[in-house]
Amino acid sequence: MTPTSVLDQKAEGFRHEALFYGGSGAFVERITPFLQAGVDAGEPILVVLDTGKIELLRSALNGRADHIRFEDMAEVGSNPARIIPVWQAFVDEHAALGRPFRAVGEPIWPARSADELAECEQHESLLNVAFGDPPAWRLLCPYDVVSLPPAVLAEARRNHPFVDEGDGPLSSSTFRGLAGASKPFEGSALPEPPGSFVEMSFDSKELRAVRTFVAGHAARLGLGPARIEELVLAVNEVASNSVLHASGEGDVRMWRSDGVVVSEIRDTGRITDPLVGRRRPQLGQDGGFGLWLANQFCDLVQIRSAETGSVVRLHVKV
Amino acid sequence: MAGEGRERATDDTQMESQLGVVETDNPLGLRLVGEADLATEEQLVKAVAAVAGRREPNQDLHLDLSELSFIDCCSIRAICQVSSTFENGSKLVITPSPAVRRIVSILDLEGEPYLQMEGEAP
Repeated sequence: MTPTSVLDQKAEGFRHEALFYGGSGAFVERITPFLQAGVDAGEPILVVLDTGKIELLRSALNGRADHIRFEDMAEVGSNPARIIPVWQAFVDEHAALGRPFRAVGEPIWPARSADELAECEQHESLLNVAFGDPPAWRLLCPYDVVSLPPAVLAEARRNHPFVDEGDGPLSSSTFRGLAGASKPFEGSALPEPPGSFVEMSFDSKELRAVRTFVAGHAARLGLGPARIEELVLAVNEVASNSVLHASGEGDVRMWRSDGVVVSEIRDTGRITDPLVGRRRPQLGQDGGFGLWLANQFCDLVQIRSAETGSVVRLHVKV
Repeated sequence: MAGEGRERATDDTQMESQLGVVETDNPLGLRLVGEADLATEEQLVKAVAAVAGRREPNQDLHLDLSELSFIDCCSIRAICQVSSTFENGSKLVITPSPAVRRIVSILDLEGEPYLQMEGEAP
């Protein structure tokens, strides 16, 4: 019996597995059997990859790809905080049917910026929190050992309970576990803005002034009208959270760095829900709208929170 | 009952603030002008509740939001939640501005059975 089938039998809940491969040839060789096994078993399959890899898999699967749903990771996961809702929708769709399903998702690639990479790694870690319970399903996360630095691979071993480095999937000895994953916002503080920035303080009566401030500076920093409207709405919602859930006031700072307009909202409140902004809010619920909306409209959202307060940074590419 | 098409301000002082709220009689509803956010939430909740209280059974409520240049999540929520007092089949008929369309779309409210969006761009 191969290690894979042993682990298959043990799988009762969510199985989150990193697969290390070297180059596109090995990628196809290693992923295709996983997909074929799913097709043969009649499992629903969702694959979220860049379009080049999707084409490689389609031709390798030779017609059997018709049973697989493919989505473009560049669209789904440019902001990695939008990926968990996609898996959640897939899980919700198939959980009730009572049979297993599987997925492949590659959120990390070499062209990711340092800020994006940090949030992608947080996303990988949060998957363990989001899908801790049954139903049984498998998510395979490919990592290209040829193009990714060793530090990224080491972090992948910490974020996946199982890692397949070529000898089949094995338990990762450095997996940080659920406790380590459930406090994602307490990590290292964000660096100060690299250059000049603009700043304003606000209280509960000044959200309108915040919107005027953000719209004006976003235009000056190079954003177009449509993105400005979205950013204004996102900042307004995060600042509303400062008014509602923190001391009632906060600070906004804005700057441009490496072709990205960054808007930062800082307050004395504490953000503790590890999956905040990653669950689609229902109209009847209190809260949960601000960071969800920020994730839909922004290219990246960074959250850091400690005893002293919280920082939310909204990135919009120019 | 006021005459057809007549409008009246629910509160004159509020017309000077960032959100203008005008109750309309034919069709029954509200016209909102300006910006709706956390600062105007209470004003909006009261206005929506007041006009909803004037509905006949099975009557729709018309909200002209075409002059709303900004609306946040708590405000669209305040508007939509009045539908919980509706009988089956009654609708919240909304004439949206681009800002309203944006938030309805991002919160995925288009499919809500009580919501009817008027004058949608094709």
